[in-house]
Amino acid sequence: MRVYERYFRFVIFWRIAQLLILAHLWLLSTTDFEGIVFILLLLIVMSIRIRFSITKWSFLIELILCIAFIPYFPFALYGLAIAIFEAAIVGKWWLFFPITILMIVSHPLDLTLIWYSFLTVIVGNFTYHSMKERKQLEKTLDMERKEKYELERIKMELLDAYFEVEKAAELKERNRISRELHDHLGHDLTGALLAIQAYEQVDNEKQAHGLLEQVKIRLSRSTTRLRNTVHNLTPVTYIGVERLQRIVADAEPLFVEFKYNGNVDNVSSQSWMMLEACLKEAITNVSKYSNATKTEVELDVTETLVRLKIHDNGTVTKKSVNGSGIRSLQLRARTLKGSLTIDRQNGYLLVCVLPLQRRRE
Amino acid sequence: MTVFHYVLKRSIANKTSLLILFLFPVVAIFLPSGEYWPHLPYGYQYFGIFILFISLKLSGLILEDRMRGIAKKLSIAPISHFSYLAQNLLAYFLILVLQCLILVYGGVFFGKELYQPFWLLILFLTFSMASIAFALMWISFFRNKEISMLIFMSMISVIALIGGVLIPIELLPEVLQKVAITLPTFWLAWGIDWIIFGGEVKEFLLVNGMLILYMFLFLIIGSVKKLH
Repeated sequence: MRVYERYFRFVIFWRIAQLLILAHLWLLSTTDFEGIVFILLLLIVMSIRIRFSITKWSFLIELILCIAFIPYFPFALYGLAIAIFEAAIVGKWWLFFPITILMIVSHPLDLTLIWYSFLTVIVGNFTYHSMKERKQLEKTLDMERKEKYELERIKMELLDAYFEVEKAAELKERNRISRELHDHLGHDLTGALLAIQAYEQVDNEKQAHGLLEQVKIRLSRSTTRLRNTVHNLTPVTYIGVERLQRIVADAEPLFVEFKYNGNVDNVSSQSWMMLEACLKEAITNVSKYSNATKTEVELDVTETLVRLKIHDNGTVTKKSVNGSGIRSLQLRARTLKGSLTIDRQNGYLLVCVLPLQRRRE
Repeated sequence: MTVFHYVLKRSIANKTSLLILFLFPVVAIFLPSGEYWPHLPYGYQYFGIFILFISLKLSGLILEDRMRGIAKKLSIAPISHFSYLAQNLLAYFLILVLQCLILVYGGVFFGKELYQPFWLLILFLTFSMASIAFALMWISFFRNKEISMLIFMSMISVIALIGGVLIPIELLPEVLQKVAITLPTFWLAWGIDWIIFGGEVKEFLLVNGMLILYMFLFLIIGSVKKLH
């Protein structure tokens, strides 16, 4: 296991404080350079520990250094507190006991030293546990972040899949229409045409009358078929601008004004779905959170883009953050290579801009 | 060793740098000796301060790399941070070695009283290493070359004064004398004293050992990868 507290500022601060205490003791002592050699060595070990990841048993270095320097620099005993701290922050707080016994044995009982070591072990142990907790929290956070990214990725994939399915459905529908036209209408109309041509050639009046009757039947059947086919093809649900108008109409009792200009036929169905979702979300938000009395909805279609602008005269708090609905819409807008922006400066303003894709044949 | 060559070339690229780097040691040889103190000629006594300045001037190249974003480019180049630093420091050390050689052998050549020239050279070389490491650490605290140089100048004067390079340490108050032990310049002054008055080899080893310890400390702190 590696020592993971690299950036834990408090640990660095405590270590420096401990070295400063030693430096202070050295200034008070009569020792000359031995003390400074000792402190310098401890400083080097400390900086190695801060800069690089070293094993958790590295506190033994401090322990050995202290024991080695005690004969030359009596205050090196206080350096043992550094070893105690380093042991405690890797979870080996029990080393406090053997080291304290060593302190008592090697020196006449110094209560300040014992108190200092005790304080150190408490601080070290507390730091160890808070670091452990922090590490756990970071791990959880990482996991959640990872899951969030995963979800977003899946969302994007689903949106892509949705477009694919839509394309496939369109092709299937085209096939159905062409089959319907070919099998029934085409058949009858061709029959009628042949009968008319035959009618021109026939001299026999009775026969000609029969042919004309046949044409009549075929044409009337075709008309019925055509009506039925068209009726079958007409969607039950509204799409496009009618759909938006219907949503606006359903928004009662809110007062919503809807205007549109430009050629709305150029807008693709994906864009309609998106615009519809935006309008619904905005109207829901207005009815839920806003105190607006009037809402304006504007749809502009140009040659290259479609823009939906929803503006109310409410006075919502400027600091409110975007909810998950808006965030999801922004993501969808991005996948359509468009954008969705919210402004709360002067009422609630939602603008969704989507590029117009050329219809693919 | 591309970085090494390039750093060498950059260090001596213009005439001013070349003059500062190699004219001063030559001038220092001919500086007079003091009457009572220092025992070595002034050029030799104050050479430590010169080494400190030159180290900072040279390692300013690293700071310049960081300021100009070259360090960022290097971090994605196929060269490790360690290799980049090592080649830089080696180039600086080479320049300082040359200066020390010019100074000490020039002194011997012109018959200056250097007591133990060989040990003096060793001492200067060890101090050069510590000094380069110190400059490396120093620049890691700054983002601007000029500001780092300005603060360094004022600090060096204090360090040199307390360390016993500018004036004999015995003239200082007792507390300052004790604080002085923590400064690398103190050990340089001690080393110079040892060279003049002689003593046990152990003592000289201690001086060099301390300077090397300082070097390690400064290197560890200064080698932090900084991209700004």
